[in-house]
Amino acid sequence: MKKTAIVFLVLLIACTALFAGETEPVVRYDLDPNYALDFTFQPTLSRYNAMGQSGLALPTRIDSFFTNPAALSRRGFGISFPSVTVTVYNLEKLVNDPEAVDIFNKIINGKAESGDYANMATKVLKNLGTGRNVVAKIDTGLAVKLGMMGFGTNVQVKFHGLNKGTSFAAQKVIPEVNAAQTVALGVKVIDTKALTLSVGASVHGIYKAYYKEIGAETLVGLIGGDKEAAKNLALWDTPVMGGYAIPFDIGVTLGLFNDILNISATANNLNGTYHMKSFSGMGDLVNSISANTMKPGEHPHTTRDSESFEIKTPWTLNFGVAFAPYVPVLNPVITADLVDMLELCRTIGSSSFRWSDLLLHLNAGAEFGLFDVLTVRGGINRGYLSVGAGLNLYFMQVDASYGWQEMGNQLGDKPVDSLTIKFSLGYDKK
Amino acid sequence: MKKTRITVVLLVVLALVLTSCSQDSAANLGSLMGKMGNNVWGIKADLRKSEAAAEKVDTIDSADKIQSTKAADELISTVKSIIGSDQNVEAFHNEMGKPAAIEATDFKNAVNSLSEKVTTLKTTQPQLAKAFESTINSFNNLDRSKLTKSDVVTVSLVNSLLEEAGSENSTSEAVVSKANDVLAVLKLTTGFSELNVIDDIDLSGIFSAMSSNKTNNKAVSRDDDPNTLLLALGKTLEKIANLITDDKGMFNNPKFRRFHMEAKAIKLAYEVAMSPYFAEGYNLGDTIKGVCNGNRPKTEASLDDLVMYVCASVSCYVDNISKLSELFLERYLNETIITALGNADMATLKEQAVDSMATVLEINRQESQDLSSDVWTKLIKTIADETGTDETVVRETISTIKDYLDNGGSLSNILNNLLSENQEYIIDSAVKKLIEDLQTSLGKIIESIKTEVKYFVGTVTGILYDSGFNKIIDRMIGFVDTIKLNLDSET
Repeated sequence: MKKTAIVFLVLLIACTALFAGETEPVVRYDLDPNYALDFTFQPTLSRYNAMGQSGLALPTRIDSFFTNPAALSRRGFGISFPSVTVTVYNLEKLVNDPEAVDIFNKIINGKAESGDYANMATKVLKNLGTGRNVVAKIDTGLAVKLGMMGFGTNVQVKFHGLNKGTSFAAQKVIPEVNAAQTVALGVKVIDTKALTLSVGASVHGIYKAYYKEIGAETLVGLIGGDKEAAKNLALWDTPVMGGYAIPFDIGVTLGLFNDILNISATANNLNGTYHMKSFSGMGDLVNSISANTMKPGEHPHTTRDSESFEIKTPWTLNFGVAFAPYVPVLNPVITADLVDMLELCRTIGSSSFRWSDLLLHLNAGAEFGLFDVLTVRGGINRGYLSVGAGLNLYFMQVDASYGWQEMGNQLGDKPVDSLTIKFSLGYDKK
Repeated sequence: MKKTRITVVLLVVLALVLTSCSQDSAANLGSLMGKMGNNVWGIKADLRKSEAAAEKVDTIDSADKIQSTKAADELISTVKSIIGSDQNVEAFHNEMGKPAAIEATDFKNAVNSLSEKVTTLKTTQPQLAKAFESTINSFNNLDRSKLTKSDVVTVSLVNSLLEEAGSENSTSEAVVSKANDVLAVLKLTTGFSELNVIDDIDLSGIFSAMSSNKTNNKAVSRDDDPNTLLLALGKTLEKIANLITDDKGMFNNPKFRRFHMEAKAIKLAYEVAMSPYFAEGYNLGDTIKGVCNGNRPKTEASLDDLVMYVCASVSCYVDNISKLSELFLERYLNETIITALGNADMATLKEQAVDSMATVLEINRQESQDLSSDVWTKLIKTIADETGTDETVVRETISTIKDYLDNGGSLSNILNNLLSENQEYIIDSAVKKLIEDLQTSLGKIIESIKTEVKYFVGTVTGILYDSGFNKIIDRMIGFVDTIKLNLDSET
C-alpha cells in the first residue's frame, strides 16, 4: 500500500510538472541604477505643485491629508466628487516649436489630418529625449473629509518614457495604472490657543499595474489606424505586471499662535513594498481578479503562468513649515518643506557632501488668495520655479500649475516642465 | 453677480488660450517657460563622475597602461556609472575630444603590440583575428601627433577585447559581455557616435509632405521619391562632413582617418557582441533579425545599435580607398559637398554630394592602387587626351604623387610644393575624370547599395504609417547583407 502511494505521488508530481505552463517573464524597470523608474504612488496635487511641491504643514484643502494626515485634525467638511487632473510634460519644447504650434492650431480648428496627429505624437515622444521622462498623467479621484476622518479613491494613469538608446527608435513608453483607496485619521492631542499638536495616519490600499515597454513607433503607428489592433495591444498583446501594496503615512503637526505657524513632520510611503505578479496581458490580469471577465475572442493569445516578485518603493521623511497670518482679502500663505531627509542625512556623512546639497531638499512656495476665490501661487522646487492659479467657487474648483522638476539622476541633469490642470466638483473651503 | 464673475474669469482664460496659439505669443510664452527652467539657485549637474572618468582616461599614458586590462576594466566601470546622466555624458564626450596625454611613440608601441597579439589569435580564431587586424591597421593610420583621449580609449578597449577573445580561460559569454562593455564606452567617447540617423531624419518635413500630398489627392511616395533620400540623409551627411573637416570647413585628413578608425572599432565590437547569433556560417540577416525581435538574451542590442552598425559598416567602405584616392576624395569633398553645405544649396547637395560621395566611397582598392589596371589606363588616356599631354607624363605625375603619399608625404605639401602648374592641371582633370569613370565602371555595385539605402530610408519615413519597425528591419538586413556580400567578394 505504501509503495502504491509513493508511486502515485511520484506520478502526480511528474504529471504536474508535465502540464506546468510556460511562465510569463517578469519585466522590471526599477532595478537599473541609471534608468530606474519611480513607482511610488502619489496623487497629483495641482496646488502642491504650484507652490514648489511644498505645503506639508498647510492643512487647509481637502487633498492635504494625502500628504499629511495630521491635517484632518482641523476637522470640517469637504467633498470632491469627482476631481479630474491632467498633467502634460515637456510642454516648453512644443511651445517653442512653431510647427507644433501650427499643428495645435489645426487641431483646434478641426483642420488636422492623420499626418498632423502622427507628427504631433512623434514630436511629443521625441521630446522625451534619452533616459527617463513622463509623457502625461491623468488622475481621477473622489475625496471626502468628515470631521477628523478622510476618505479618498484615486485612479491614476501615468505614461512613463524610457530611452536607453540615443534616438526616437529606442524610445519606449510604459503605461502605469494605479487604483488607490485611502483612509485617514487626524486628531489633536494638544489643543490650546497658543499651541496645538496634531497627529494623523493614513493607509492606502493600492493596486498597481504597468505594461511592458511599448515602442514609440508602435504607438504613433496606432494613430488613425486599426482600433482593433490598439485594443489587442492594450488587452492581450502586451505583458502586464500587477500587484498590490498597503503603504501608510504618519504625520505630526505643531500649531503655534492659533495655527498661524505650523510645523510638520511626515513619514510617507511606509511599507511601500508591492507584491507583484507577471501576466501575459491586461485581460489576464483582469481575469485573475474576476475569472472569465475578458476573452480574447478570435485574437490569438496564450495565457502563461504568473511569476511573483516584489517592488520596493522607498519611504520618505519630510519636514514642513507653513506661515499663514491673518490678512483680510489676500489670505497669504508661505510654506517651506525639507523633503526626503533620509537621503540628506545619508549624504551628510559622506565625503561627497556639498552644502549646496541642502538646497536640493528645500521646496518653498507662497499663495495669495483674493477673498479665497481667486488664488495665485508660486514656488521653488529644488531651485526650479513653479507658478499656478486657482479658482475656488462653492461648487467647483479649478487649479492650474506650471513648473519644472528634475527627472534626471541628479539635480541639473534633466529638468522637465509640466502643466497640471485640475477640475473638481464639490465643496472645498478652508 | 457670481455668474458674471465666472463668465469674466472664463473669458480671460479663453483669451489667454487663444492668444497663446498665435506664433508670436507662443514664442514669447515659450521663451518665458524656458527661462523658468533655469535653476534659480544656480545649481548645475554634479559632473564629478564624468571628471573621474576623464581622469581614468588620463592615467592611460603609456604603452603598458594601454595594454593593461585592469586599467581598461576600471575605465569601463567608471564610464558606465555616468550612463543615464545626460550632463555627465556630454561633459565626458567633450573631454574625450581633447589631446591625449600619451606620447606618440608609446602609442605606436602599444599598437604594434596589438598587432603581435592578433598574430597569435590567427592560429586559433582566424575569422575573428581578421576583424581585429583590420581595426588595428586603422590605428596605424592615425596622425600620432594629434592623438585625442578618445583615440587612447579606443585602442585600450580594443586591446582589452582582444585579450578577452584570445584568452584560453575566457568563455564566449565573457567575450560578448566585454564587447558590450566596450560598445557602451565607445558610444560615449567617439565622434562617430554623434551620428544619429533616425533622429536626424526630418520626420516633420516628411509628415508635412504626406499631409500635402493627401490634400492634393496624390499618393504618398516613400521608397522611390528622390527627395526622400536627401530629406533623410542630409543632416547625417552634414554631421559626417563636420567630423572630417577642420574649423574652416575644409577636409581634414587626420580627422577623416579617425572617423574611419572609430567606425572600424565600433563595427568590430558589434560583431563580437552579436557573435552568439552567428549561426553556422555567417548569417548576419538572421542575427540582426533575432536581435530586433527581442531574442537577445546575451546582448543589449537595439534598433539604435542596428542603425549604428549599418553606419559603421558603410563607413568601413572607406577602407577600400588608397591614399591616392584620399587625395581625390579630399578635393572632391572640398569642391562639392562642403561647398554645397556652405551654400545651403540642397539641390546641389542632392545632385553632387549624395550620389557621388557614395560613388567615391566605392572606389575599388585593387584598381585604384594598380596604375596598370584598366581603370587607370583608361583614365590616363582620357586625361592625356583632354589635357593635350603625353600619356607617359600623366602616368609619371600620378605615380610620383602616389609614391609620395605612400611614403607618408602630406597632402598639403603635394598641393603647395610638389606640383607644377601643369601637373596640378593634370590632377584636377584626373579628379574629375576619375569620379566620372568610377561612376560608370563601379555603377552596378553602387546602384545596388543605393537601392538598399533608398529602401531603408523610404521605410524609415513610412514607419509611422506601418506597424512597427518590421519593414525597416527587413530593409536594413538586406542593406547590411549587401554590404557584407560586397566586402566578402573583395576579400
